[in-house]
Amino acid sequence: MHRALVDRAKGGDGEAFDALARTVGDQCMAIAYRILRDADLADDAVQAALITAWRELRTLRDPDRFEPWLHRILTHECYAEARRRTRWSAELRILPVDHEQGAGGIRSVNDRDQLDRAFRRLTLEQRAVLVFHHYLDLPVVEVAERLGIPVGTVKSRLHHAVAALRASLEADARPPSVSQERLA
Amino acid sequence: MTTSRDLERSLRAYLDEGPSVLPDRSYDVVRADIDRTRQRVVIGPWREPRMSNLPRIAIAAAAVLAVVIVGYNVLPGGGGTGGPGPSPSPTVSPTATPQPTAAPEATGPISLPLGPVAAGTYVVHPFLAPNDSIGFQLTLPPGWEAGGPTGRAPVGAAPTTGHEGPGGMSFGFLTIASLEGDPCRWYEPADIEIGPAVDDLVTALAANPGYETTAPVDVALGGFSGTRIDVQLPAGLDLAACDAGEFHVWADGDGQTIYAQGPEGRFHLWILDVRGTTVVVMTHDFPGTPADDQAELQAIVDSIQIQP
Repeated sequence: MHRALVDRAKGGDGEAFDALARTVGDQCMAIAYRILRDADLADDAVQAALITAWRELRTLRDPDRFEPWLHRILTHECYAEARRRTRWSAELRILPVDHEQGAGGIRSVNDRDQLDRAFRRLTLEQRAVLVFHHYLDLPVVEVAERLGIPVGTVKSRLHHAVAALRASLEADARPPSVSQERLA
Repeated sequence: MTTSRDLERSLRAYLDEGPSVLPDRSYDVVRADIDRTRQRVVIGPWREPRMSNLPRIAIAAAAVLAVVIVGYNVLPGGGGTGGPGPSPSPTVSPTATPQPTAAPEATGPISLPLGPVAAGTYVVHPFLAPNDSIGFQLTLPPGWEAGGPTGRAPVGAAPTTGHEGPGGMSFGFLTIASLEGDPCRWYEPADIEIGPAVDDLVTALAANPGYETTAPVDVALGGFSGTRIDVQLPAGLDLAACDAGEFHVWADGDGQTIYAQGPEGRFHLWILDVRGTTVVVMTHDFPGTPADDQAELQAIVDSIQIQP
């Protein structure tokens, strides 16, 4: 769908690339935010991804695959951005709770907070597969292509990510330990 | 929230939250950056945009050149080079390839055009300033096409039959600004800066564990001395697992992109000191490249004369 713009941009047309960026930028922001859970980091990652895409556009073999190709770059930029800000990220506060429930229904604010804490404990790689699979609704084969990893790795990361989420949620739901009670 | 269905529903709702709009200022930042950032150019795949136009452009360019040269030769007193220095004998083959028609007679090497070229001797100045005065004269057999950045002189060539593995080949001219720390993870900003001397580059290549190198050997090529070293991709490397499925050994000084064209790819490097500038003549082939093709590639290298 973006083929004409991609072709023109590959020829060095900055205007065409600008138009192309504006057609895909919002989705990139959505993906990056959901992986990084921080709007500023996501913004930086998207900017870096778009600039990298411009620089490397001529290496794109199939213009019809621009979006998957860009998502792959974006994911790497998310990883890189997180690594660059490791110390800062470690001090990130939990974002304020949004009291509006999503359409699918997080049952309570408490659930949402628990899920947020659990999600943030996942590795970036685990978050990425969850975002591409559960947010973009992509099949695992497509997720594998966009992340540049084997299908088996996608399945494995999905499995471990969901297991880790469940374990975190269950741990949060557990009553305080005996030692904590004694301390109290 | 313990069943899989509950967890999945909650996860989807959670992922639906959050910003989904890139701020306008971010587009402005990107736009400002791309206006001053050159696109990297792929050498080897020759998949320049508007590639389908290249043969036509090359034909047109060659036709114009032929008219100019023939016209010059038939003019009274024509046939000289029109300039100082030695006058090479006509070197463009009268036998045209199926693509462009080259000049039947020429008064010296002609500038290598982009796209398919006829057999003959050409000269090319592949580098940007301040190295744009460095020229390479070389003789190409039939069936080759030159490639490089749009709006610039070619930076290399490959047979029209293919440059990719398992049996292709190509050659190019480059300067190397830095090495990729991990050639498979070249998205990472882990460049290894290279000193200005030939030995600096040779030492850095030999020290990188990301690929295998041959023992450096002193060589002379095109009138200049330097070092020959080969780079071999690691055995069993899964290119698909590399960033963008590509293996990048170095970052080029002029911003072009050269990367391995398949598993088991080999780079043969003549790293030369051209009056204080480290210049690389590179060929790229595979263990599966036929011996006759390898000999043809070597003959091209052997024909190179460097004009500093």
